[in-house]
Amino acid sequence: MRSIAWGAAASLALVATAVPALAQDTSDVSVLHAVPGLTVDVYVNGEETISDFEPGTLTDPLELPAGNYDIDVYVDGDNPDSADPAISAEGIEVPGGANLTLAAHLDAEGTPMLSAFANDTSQLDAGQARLTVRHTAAAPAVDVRAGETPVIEGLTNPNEEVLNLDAGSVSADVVLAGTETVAIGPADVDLAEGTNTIVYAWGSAEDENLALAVQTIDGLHGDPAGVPTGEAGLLDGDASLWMFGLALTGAAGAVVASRRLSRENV
Amino acid sequence: MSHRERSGPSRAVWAGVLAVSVAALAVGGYSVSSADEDVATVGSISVTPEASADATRTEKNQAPATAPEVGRSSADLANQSAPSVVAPTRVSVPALDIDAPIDALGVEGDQMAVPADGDRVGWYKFGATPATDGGSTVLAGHVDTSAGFGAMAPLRQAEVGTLIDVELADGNTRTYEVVGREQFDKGDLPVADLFERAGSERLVLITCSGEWQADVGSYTDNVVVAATPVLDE
Repeated sequence: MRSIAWGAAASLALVATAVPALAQDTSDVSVLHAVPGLTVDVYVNGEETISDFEPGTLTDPLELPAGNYDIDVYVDGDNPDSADPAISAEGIEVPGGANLTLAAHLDAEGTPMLSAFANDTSQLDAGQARLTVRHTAAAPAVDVRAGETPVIEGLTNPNEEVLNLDAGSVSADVVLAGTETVAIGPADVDLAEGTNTIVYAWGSAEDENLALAVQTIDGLHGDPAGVPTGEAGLLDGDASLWMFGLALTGAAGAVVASRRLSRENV
Repeated sequence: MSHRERSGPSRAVWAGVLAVSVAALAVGGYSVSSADEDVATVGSISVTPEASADATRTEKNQAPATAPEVGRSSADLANQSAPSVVAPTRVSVPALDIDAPIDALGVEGDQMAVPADGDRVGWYKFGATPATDGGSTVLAGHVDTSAGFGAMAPLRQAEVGTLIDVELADGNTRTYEVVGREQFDKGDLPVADLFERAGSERLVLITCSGEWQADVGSYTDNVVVAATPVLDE
């Protein structure tokens, strides 16, 4: 999976609008600020929507109706009537029924940009967690290691990789691709069951402020397929009567049980 | 007897999200009734007075004068906190002579993990606990093992009104009352209902029953007992 560049957003919208469900006419859109050292105001369709937005901050999901959006990011306090936006993107298509993160971040060379990422909210198997890693830093290609074993290799800005893993805590670090040179970490990342834990590598290698930001989307859990709770066949035959007898006779029943057991297992 | 830690912050966050979604729907020209449906789907989660007021004041097709302030939080990895879980540690059903320690377990393959020791009971650690705000706490134990009958074997005699005590890691005990017992073919086990993590608080106990299938080493059926909390006097 790759991040959706602005041009590609249109094709995503076409796919999504093919599903004519009213419930899907909105999308959840979270906004992440991952440009170091710049407090900003975010305007959506000309209206100030997020003010005094600080680096390393993530908004709650905005439920936006499907449609086109102009996003302008101004340095905090700049007057949109006179100042130029620090970053802007026009005609961004938000499809229906999606979960997106709009990230303001640096490109590999250190220029601020916007990326819209589609978050994978498909259901997981019971016991699993999803890990999404996004390269949104002014840095070259990286590998991501979990417990010193590379799990993602050669990830470049502004792309992502998605893995489904057993839930649990992992010690993760980010190294320059193909090397042992640690750029970020190691840090413990909690991959909670039934969540998509989205990790952003952000900041600038040159400015030595690379860091990890985290977004968690929960409620993606699946259920166990069954509950295997019998191994010996002791209930064989007239089970309920037999159990009733066991409950009444106590110790005597246990003797019967073990005798029966030996017969079953020979 | 003090019982449960309520997750207050999450409730507040939900209210914030609802307030935002209500406003966004109104901007998009949707009727207030679809906003109400959104509220209804979260069931027992209470909406803050502010959010309710917004929902009633914002009329159909009328955009609010100013955009709602969207909630935000630090995305710093250091702020990522695994929620503190108060695990159940022991289950007892005095009327059925069930009294067993509980192990927190997840899955084995695609099945719920169950302690190999029939004297112990497994709690599905990815689901609810009696200390969480609603949802289904699932406990399962072997009806039998090579060592004999398991602690949960008498579950098959549970009746409506049978009392069940669950001890928690924080020292509290939660009492439940059986509201139903049902036997399911394993292929028809309603796992989505049994493992439901939302909705009202309930306790689900599961063991095996039915016919023994020696060829595959398992029983044909599960016995499921559902219980609801006994309210404080």
